[in-house]
Amino acid sequence: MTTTPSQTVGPFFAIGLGDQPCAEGPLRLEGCVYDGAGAPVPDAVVEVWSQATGWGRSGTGADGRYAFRLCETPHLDVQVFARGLLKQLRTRVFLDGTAPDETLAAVRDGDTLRFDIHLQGERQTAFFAL
Amino acid sequence: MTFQPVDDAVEPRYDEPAYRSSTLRHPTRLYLLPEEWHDPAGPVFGESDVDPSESDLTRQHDGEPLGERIVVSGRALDSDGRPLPNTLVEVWQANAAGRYAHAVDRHPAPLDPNFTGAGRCVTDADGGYRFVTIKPGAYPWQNHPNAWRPAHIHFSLFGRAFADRLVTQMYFPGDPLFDADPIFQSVRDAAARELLVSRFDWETTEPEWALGFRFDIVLRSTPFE
Repeated sequence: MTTTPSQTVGPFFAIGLGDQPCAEGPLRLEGCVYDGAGAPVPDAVVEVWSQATGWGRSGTGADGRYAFRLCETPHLDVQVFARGLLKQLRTRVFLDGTAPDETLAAVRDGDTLRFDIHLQGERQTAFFAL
Repeated sequence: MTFQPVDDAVEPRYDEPAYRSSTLRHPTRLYLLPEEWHDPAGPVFGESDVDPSESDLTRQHDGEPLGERIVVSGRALDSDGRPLPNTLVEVWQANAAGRYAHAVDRHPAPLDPNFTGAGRCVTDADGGYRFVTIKPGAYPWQNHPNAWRPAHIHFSLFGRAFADRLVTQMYFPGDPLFDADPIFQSVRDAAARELLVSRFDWETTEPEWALGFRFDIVLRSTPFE
C-alpha cells in the first residue's frame, strides 16, 4: 500500500505534541537547533529513542534549546520535526565517544552532554533518508 | 565509517521553494542509514497511556465548543496492509474560526474558551481510532500574498519501529484552497495527495449529532523486523 505522505508539524504543534520525559537517569542531553543562517529554531521538536532510555520528546523554546534527562546509553536515535520541515529529519547521536562523524558526537562535560543540531549549512548534521 | 549519499526522492521533499519556511531549514545532503543502525523496536503504548476522554475534543471544558461537530475515525495500517494496534495517535487543530489556542497564533479570529484542539488515543486491536471534534476553520498565513491554509487536522502516529513514525495533516474533501496551498501541493503526485484527504462517510455519521469523516493512515514498515 502507498504510505500516507508526511506534512509539516507547523508552528503550533505544542498544542498536541507535549514534552515526554525519557526514563530518568543521571545524565542530561541538551542542545540547540539551528537553521541554515545560524539562527536558533524556536519551533522544532526533538524526539529521541533507544531501548535503554525509552522514548522522549522535547520542544525547543524561544532560544532554540531542547533538553532530556537520561540514563547511560551508547547512542540515541533522533528525529527532528519543525515548521518548515515537510517531513522529519532522522539521525543518531553518540554519547559514548564512538561517533563515526563529528556532527553526531555529543560533547560531554560531566553528566551533561551537548548535541547541537544544524539543519543546514557548513556544519549541517549528518541526516539519513527515511 | 563513510556514509553513502542518497538522492531523496520521497515526497514531499525537504526543499520546497514554494513553502518559504523550508528555505533555511532543509538539509542539502542526506545519507543512506547504515544497515547496522536499523532498530526494529520503538516505544510501546497501551490503553493506560491515555484517558478515554482525551479522544473527545468537545468535552474538555465546562461548555461545548462552537462549530460543526464531527466524528473522525479510521485505521492505522502498515504498508503491507496489516493493522497497527496499540499505537499512539495524537491530533491537534485550529478551532472553528481558524484560530489555534497557541500564543504564537496572531490570526484575529476568536479563541473558543471551550476548545483547546488537542486529542490523543491508542489504536484498538484492528488499528482503529476515533475522535469527536469540531470542524477546523481555514486560516491565513504569511507564506505569500493572500495565503490561506485549507482546513486540516494534524495527526502524529508511531507504528512498530521508531523509524516508522509519521506526522501528517488530514484535509476535508473538496476544499477550494487545495490548489494554492504549497504544503498540500508539496506532494506532487495527485494520487498520493488524495491519501491526505478524508472522505465523508454516512456509516459513521450519527443522526441528530455529528457528520462522520474517515481517514485511514498507512505507515512505512521497517523491513528489518
